[in-house]
Amino acid sequence: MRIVAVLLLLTLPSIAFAQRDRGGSGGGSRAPQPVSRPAPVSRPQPQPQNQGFNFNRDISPRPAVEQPQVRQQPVQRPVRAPQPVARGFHGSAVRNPHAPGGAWYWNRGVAWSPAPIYWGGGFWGPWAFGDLSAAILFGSIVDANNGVYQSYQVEPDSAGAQLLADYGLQQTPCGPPNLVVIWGPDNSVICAFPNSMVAPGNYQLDPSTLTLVSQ
Amino acid sequence: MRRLLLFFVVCASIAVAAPLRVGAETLVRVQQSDGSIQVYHNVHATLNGKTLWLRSPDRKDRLQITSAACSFPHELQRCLPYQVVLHRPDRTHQIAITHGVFYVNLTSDPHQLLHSSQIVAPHSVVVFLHTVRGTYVSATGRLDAVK
Repeated sequence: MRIVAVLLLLTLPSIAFAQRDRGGSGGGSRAPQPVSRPAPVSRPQPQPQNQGFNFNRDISPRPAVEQPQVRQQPVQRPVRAPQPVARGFHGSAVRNPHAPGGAWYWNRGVAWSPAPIYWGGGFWGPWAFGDLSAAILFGSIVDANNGVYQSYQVEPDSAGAQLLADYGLQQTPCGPPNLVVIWGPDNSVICAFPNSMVAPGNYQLDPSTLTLVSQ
Repeated sequence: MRRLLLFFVVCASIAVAAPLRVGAETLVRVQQSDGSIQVYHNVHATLNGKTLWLRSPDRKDRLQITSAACSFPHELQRCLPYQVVLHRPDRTHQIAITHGVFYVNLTSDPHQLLHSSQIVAPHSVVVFLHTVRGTYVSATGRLDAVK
């Protein structure tokens, strides 16, 4: 009997913990409880009427008076896979000294594909077309057809930053002559100062091997 | 008799505690454009390739977050969502987003988010979304399944 009493004492905390969890929001039909930490806004936190996700504002037809005023609407751009020769660059590849060559080796073997609502597919950083307020404009390129391509500062932890680091390149605003001009995914472009490894000129990025191909 | 009682005690404690320990540990917070907030506990989170699925506590709604541009800064997998679909029992709805990001920690150690004090626990996910209609969505918690 003593053993039973000891076991009961040992199991009581876990039962109590489980009851606490259940009381919080585990029940199938019970509405979720508000979190115990302070709310980030001063207004009270109403509980959801049911436990389904409330995206009623996002799925309802757009109301006439309620328009987002501060955010730029995302530019709908077609999804395009990275095309290393899309611009007709058939020049020699400048070997990436830090990438041994295998496809996607630089990304732990995981194929990188562009996310269409972000500048450069997200290769240069998480800069969304719908909210470029956090991105820093870094000049622009005007092509032969007078098409203007804005450039933005590369985010330090992005794949693009790895590319620049691998080649020892330093980004600079596009516009001046005699720069290294790198065309990335989804018609994105950045510029860098030339160095001993990469001469001035136009380059296309091959994202699978993180390699530059000259014009 | 004593052994029988012992058996029942052990079984009862396992039955009460165990089912609540597994699964559906993600917390989702939805802040509407008017400032009102809904918090959902016990959300089921599944990562299928580059797509994250969040299932509501009543198991009726599923939020499909499709991403790309996945990279691996500092031991974390970072992906950029570009399409969000709300699957309800009767129909599906596209939710237009301006931007978002999710971090997945598939390692056995906690890792700190870049430029943040937030820690991503082992086998957990942290999600941020901002919709075109001004809704902010965040989700934090353990992944119930990785496919």
